[in-house]
Amino acid sequence: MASQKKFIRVLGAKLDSVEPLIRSVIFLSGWSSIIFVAAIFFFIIKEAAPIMPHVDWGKFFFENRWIPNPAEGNEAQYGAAGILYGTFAITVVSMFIAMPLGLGAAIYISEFAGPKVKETLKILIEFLAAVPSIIWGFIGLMVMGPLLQKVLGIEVGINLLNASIVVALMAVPLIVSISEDALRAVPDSYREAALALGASRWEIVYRVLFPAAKNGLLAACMLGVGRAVGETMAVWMASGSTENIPENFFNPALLLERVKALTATIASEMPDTAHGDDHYRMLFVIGIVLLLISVVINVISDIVIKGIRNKHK
Amino acid sequence: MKNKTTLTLAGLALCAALSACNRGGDNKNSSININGSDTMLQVGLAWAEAYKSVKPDVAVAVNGEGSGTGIKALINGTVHMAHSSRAIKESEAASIKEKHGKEPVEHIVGFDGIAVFVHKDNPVKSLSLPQLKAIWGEGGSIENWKDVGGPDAAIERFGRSNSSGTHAFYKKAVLGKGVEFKLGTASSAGSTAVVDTCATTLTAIGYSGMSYKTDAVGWLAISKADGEEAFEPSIPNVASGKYPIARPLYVYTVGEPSGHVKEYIDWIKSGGQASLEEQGFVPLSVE
Repeated sequence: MASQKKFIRVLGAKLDSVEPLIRSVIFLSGWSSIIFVAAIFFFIIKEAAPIMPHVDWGKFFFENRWIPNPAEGNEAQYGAAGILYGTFAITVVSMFIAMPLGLGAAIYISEFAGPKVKETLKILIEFLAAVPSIIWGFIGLMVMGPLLQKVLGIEVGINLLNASIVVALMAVPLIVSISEDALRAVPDSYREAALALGASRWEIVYRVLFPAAKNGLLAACMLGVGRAVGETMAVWMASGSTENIPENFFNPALLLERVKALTATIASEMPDTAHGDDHYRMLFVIGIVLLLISVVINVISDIVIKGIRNKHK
Repeated sequence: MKNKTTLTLAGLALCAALSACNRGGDNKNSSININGSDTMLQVGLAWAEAYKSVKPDVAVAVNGEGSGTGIKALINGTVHMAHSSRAIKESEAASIKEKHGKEPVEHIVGFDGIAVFVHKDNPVKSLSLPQLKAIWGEGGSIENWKDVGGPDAAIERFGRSNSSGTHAFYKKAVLGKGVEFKLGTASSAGSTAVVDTCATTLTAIGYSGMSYKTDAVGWLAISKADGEEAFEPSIPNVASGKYPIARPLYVYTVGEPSGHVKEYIDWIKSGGQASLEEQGFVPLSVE
């Protein structure tokens, strides 16, 4: 008994002396994420820097002509307009599919499902998240592509719609789990108060829960968008990987055209370029564009969330 | 409690000692590191596998990250030899001379035909080189299968990505000097992806190494000019030069090879040729 008390006292004393060490480790861990982000930015800008002054930005953003390995006697062309459109289109269309699906699933799981159904659904959705992205690519190329060909009667199944469906399925688990957390965080007292006032269950959802959980729901959607912008392998295989800008933006047939994303361009071309040559550096310029897109998305969502928070104050 | 800790530490020490022991077997003299062409990956692995029964104490490690990546690794000195499905560029040869003081040495180890794949049910069975140029090249006038004797449907072109050796070779051999690929040509995710897409898409046309042919897809016979006889990319046709879109398969070393590497390359040119045929490529000499 006495030896146990002595052990606890000695352990306590040791922990006290170790605490500053633990505190500094935690402090470093917190700062490390900032350091890593800064290092990533620095590395990418450093690799792209030599070519930046020579880039024809007008051509880069507005001309659809990406020919980094030209035929003998021609100059290399770096017009990325088609590729920029590809990433934009896949993100928009996949979010059109993923957001209603994801938010709807989250609302159902959180508010309407019984406990057993809730558990099963959560496990199944987590399983969707566990599928590796290259498997999604195979599904898009070998399963969903031919399926779209059969169902829609079109010639080529690997296109914008195919890639967007696959990316949406990859983003849905993310949106569902974070939205579901956000909805669960709304105190039950809100729901009970609404019920007491005679609200129907659907009215509780969109008049009480949505406004209360807006931050979390928006964060979930932003993460989904981030996933869609950054997805590489699945998009490369399922989108048809062809630089393309549709002629008519109001014709829904543009969904059936092939597109090429920024991420797929880097993945398909980086492995075989020589370190330090123009093609290599232009791929890093595309990397900068991707980073900027992520930064802009995060900044916009931060501003919107702050705006909502201020309104509630 | 004290005994458990001692036991765990002793166990960890033992593991560390054992792993250090394995390191001794990997001495640089008896392992050959290779990187290079994605087209040559399957046959490269087959060679490495077959060589185990020829020289069991020599370990051959093969990667297929691309012809350019392989040559880059050769420049950096991380591989003993590089597989390549295209000729080394002048800039790459200059880098090797600069870094190692020796010229790169080219060894031709086989031949490969680039097949033009189509869907099995496509009624078009042959095309000429000028027709191919008009389909694939910028400014070419053929956009629809009906212009070449097929159904009324747009021709969907599936090629390889911009860094692929196959892409570069096809551009040079079929489109000729100064002509780029037409806008709207897909950059498929590898040689197999081109074949898979052609197998499932009725209006597709794609190019890839002849060794990637499967029973699910068809390929076209190609003639050198309109009206001439067209030949399929079979091994005898490529070997005899009748099939017009063919390229040598290269192995590059820094300077003349010696020791294990020289034996391996000599073996590839003799005993290893059987693997080439098995994989669907064309060996150096065909009777």
